[in-house]
Amino acid sequence: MNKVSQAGKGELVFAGALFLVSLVVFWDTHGLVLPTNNTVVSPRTFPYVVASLLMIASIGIAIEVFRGRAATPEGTNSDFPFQKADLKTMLIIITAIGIHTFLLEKIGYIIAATISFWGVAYAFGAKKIIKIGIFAFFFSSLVFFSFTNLLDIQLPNWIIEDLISKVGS
Amino acid sequence: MVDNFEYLLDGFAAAFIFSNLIYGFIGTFLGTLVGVLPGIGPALAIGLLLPITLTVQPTQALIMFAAIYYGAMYGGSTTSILLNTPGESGSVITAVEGNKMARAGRAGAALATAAIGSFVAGTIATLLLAMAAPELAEIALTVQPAGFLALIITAFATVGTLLGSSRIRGILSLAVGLTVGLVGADLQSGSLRLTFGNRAAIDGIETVTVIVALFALGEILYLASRFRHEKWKVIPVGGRAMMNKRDFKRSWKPWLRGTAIGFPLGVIPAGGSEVPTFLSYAVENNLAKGENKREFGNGAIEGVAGPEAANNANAAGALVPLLALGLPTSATAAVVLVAFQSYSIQPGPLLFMTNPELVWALIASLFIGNTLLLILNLPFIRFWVKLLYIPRPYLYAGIATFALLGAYALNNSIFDLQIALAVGVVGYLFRRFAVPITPMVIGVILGPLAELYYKRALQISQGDHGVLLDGPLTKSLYIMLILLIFIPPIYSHLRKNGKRNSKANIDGR
Repeated sequence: MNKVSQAGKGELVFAGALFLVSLVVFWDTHGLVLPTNNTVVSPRTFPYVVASLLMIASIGIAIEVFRGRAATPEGTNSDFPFQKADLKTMLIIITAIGIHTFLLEKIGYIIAATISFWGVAYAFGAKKIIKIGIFAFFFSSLVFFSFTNLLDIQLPNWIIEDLISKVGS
Repeated sequence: MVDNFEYLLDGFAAAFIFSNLIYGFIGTFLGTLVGVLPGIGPALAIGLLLPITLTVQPTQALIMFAAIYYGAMYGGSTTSILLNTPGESGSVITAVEGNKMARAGRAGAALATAAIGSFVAGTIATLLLAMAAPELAEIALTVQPAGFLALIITAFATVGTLLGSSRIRGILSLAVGLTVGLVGADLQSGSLRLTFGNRAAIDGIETVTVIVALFALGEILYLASRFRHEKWKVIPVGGRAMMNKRDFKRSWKPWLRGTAIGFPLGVIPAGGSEVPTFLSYAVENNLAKGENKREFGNGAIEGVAGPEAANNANAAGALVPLLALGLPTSATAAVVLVAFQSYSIQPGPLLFMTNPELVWALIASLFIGNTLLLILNLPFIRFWVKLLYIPRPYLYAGIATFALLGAYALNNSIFDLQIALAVGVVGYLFRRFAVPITPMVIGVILGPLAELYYKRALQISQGDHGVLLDGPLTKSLYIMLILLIFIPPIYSHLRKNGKRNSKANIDGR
């Protein structure tokens, strides 16, 4: 057996996580409340098939890694080998989207979208953080205004949105 | 046949109304605009633009979709040629030769052959679509649920095993998609699956959310994980997007060959646009002679013309099973299906009977969109190229903003946003571990459908599983499937053995 590389270890964790998901599907399906009326096909059949497929595939990936055939990520080759993932940049983006999700219906679309825009731009190395903040605010306001007024798509309102709608009408 | 032609003329009449042409124009513009942005392929472009079409009439929305569809494909090829960052698997080959041409100062010719080739292939393929889809739909009316199940399983197998670096990763992607498709209330019994007490999950997970998150958020996270190591260089377009006589002479045959390869491979579920574009490239490489041959690998125009035509013809071909059977076989077709469903239109054999005017308006719009694209885009290439100079922080922040908006606006639900974030992380992991994404999208969409047909088949037979193998269609599909799964490994095994034997012979001599 080949020695598993650092990247291969990451892939094993990935396969392991999906294996756990397949166990969860088995467990959830097993606990399904069956309908009282008689059905020809139980609602359990299909999920069991899917869970088995997921389980087999995740084991298959693990075997591939142990055989020394770890994945070659998209856009990499021997000239551009995969570098260690830049976790800090990724975390900033995930946090920004998380805050957007958490705040959207509490403080309205514009501030929530300003935060996520600013966060992603900052993560991708934007230096002038105040300028980006101002741009993000105007961009979000423009998106809000055009979607609610021109396309009739409702987005969460708060004080700022009310103000902008008044100015617009 | 005559009926179909009349329907098509009616379709043109519907599409040619001034207001509808305006929608076609807007669609072409938006499709190209979004498609040019690096990292955005046609599937994501349609997904992102879905909220915009929610408020217009179905016919107008279809016209917009057709225009967006071709616009996004065209925009994608521009990006691959000038920036070498293909937005989707179908443009990978275009990037190989196209980017080399651009580096050699022939960007204009590369862009022109891509655009005109797309137009030629798109027009021929749409014509074939108009002829094939109604015929296929008529046959499909006689297909039993067991036959549909067999078709879906074939699609699963081909999409799952033909894409990506290894079969097992394709199957894994499919399995994850099927799992996502399980979430929610079972259609028949109402049993709640994988909802974990969350009320918002009862309706299941929104497909558009999955697509937008997988393609946009997943891509952004992946780029973020490695952006400090990446270089990004736009190659300026010198002169105009034009071909000279010699380029034209070298291009027209590859266009036609690409169309011939791309269309049939789109109709049968052969796993998206990777296979036909690679195949077309290989054919052109083999057929090239002399000086042209030496250019391959350093920017041969045939290597752009053929694959681009194959890619476009393939996309139109994928609409045949979508319209006639209701089965999407590529990520882009899957999004189009979702777009239809948002208007409560269910593609499938019945659609040609219940809503012929919609289908034919769509097909007519494909022609018009394709033509508008050629007229509008080649002269304005400089405008589109400017989009490539948007600084990356602004570009990705903008894409993220629209992705989040698209995920939320469909149902106004925070749950969808939470799912989007989770699926975005899955999309990152898939890219990181070379797991192809399309099988997952197909799994999410076709999984519930597979279960539905399975149940219907067994209800008709009252629980007898023999029905699943009944009839010539199911039998031949499953036999084909077994061959598809077992022949390649046996072949490669034999070849390995053969090599070993011949080596042993040489050594033993």
